[in-house]
Amino acid sequence: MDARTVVEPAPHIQVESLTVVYEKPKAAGTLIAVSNVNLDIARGTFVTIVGPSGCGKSSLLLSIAGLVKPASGCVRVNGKPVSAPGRDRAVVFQDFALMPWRTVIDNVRFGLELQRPRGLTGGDLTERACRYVELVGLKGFEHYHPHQLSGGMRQRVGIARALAVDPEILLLDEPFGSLDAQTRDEMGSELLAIWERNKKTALFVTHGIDEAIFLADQIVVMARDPGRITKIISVDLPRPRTVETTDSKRFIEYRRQIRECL
Amino acid sequence: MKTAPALVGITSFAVILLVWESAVRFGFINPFFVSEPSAIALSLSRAARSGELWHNVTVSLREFAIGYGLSVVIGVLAGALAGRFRTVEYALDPFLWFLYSAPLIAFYPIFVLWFGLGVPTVIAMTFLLSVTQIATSTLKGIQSVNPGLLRAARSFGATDRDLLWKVVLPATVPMMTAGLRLGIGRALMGVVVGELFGATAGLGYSISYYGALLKTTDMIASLIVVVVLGVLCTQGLTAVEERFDSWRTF
Ligand SMILES: Nc1ncnc2c1ncn2[C@@H]1O[C@H](COP(=O)(O)OP(=O)(O)OP(=O)(O)O)[C@@H](O)[C@H]1O
Ligand SMILES: [Mg+2]
Repeated sequence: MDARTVVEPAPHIQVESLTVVYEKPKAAGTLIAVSNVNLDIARGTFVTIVGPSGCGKSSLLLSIAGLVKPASGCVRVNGKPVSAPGRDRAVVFQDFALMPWRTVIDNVRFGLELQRPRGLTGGDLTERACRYVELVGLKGFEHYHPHQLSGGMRQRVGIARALAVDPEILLLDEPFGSLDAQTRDEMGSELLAIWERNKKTALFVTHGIDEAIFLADQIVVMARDPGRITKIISVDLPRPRTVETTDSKRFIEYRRQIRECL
Repeated sequence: MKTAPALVGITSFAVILLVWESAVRFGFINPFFVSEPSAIALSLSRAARSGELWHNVTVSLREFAIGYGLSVVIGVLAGALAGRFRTVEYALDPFLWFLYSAPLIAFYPIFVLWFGLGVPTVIAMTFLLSVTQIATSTLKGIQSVNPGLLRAARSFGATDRDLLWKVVLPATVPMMTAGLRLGIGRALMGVVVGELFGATAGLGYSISYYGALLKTTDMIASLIVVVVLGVLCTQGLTAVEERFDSWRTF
């Protein structure tokens, strides 16, 4: 086939003039959390979102997940409008949202149980859950309950739960927020490896500027009041990225650029 | 170390029995008012051998089972519906408040008027005293379900049925079983109060019967049986609670 006749593939995720509005408590009117946001995310790209607290990062992410209904505008995945959550997307929640009555392994198994991939027995699900528990470095803690874990460990359970269902799109809301610097770097590299290996599309919210650059093909910078996108930066750094990447001149230039926008 | 609390409890209990017995033996207290442990034990064994004890226990337990059983079914159902539907909650609210705050014993004469003296009235008292506790606990349990967990479940494609079985129910069970446990105590109160006046058998009846004859020993013996039954039922449910509740230890 002649390469020039191949049409540009449609974006994997399209956000079209998305506006998200919440009721304020005590009927004090409404709050515009996300205002008229447009964003196209190509299949297989890693997009990070940075912005001050309250600028609507989570709201944007949850709208794409189909968990928050937009007041206007829409989100399309594979060209189809999103109206509810779907198997093609999995979310890592900012507040972990683990079932306190389930052990680590059963929490990781939770999504699998609900989705029951075809042809898999209960034993297969447990086995798969086990693999992901190991992947996030929680081997040996399978039978702990969430209240017996540290914050960072809980967070990793949430990550394993989302990875275990093997979605096309990973929606991660500050997934490394409670991790120490070293674990954060390890998990970041692990996540990049999974992403590269399985050709996933990832949307990753973070407060860490370096983390945002290190992981991203594209960085979305948001601002608040109302929540909106102020800049989209394409990151042109070779992969696989290593510690040296963060010392490169270009990296430092990106860092300066983002600081300016924030 | 697990045995230590039980050991201390048993010791303190034994000490009290000993003090009681000796106080009566040495003439510090008139046995007419408090009887004495050895006499009570004799009375219990007499009642057990004559079949009187067994008869009273079965009568009371049957009333308890029916009244409390009704409470569980209706209380859990009402609480669950109120938790699911706002309208039901608003509709039930005044009743729950009323039942919570009213001195329910005052209903006794009305029940006698409706059901006559005897078993049905006792069952009605048992039901009335325990149903509120169970309904409110179920409702509170459902309302305390973390919406973030429901959202997480939905993100993985949970259906309404999944939400009920995999999130709402496990999250509600601890508070609900706590309500069921508190309900036991109140139901037993209903049984005893109901039997005190217009019954012809049962432990409450036996308390008031011997009370009227001024037979303190036999009266206290029946009282002790009621207490033991209450402790056994509550302990049984506590065991169930701990099974479901091991995660709620923070
Ligand atoms: N369920 C809700 N009900 C009402 N207001 C909400 C709700 N969720 C978010 N908001 C409001 O929407 C705004 C954006 O919230 P959002 O959680 O999207 O911000 P964020 O960028 O993720 O912030 P952070 O970095 O602190 O997580 C905030 O002002 C918040 O108060
Ligand atoms: Mg957020």
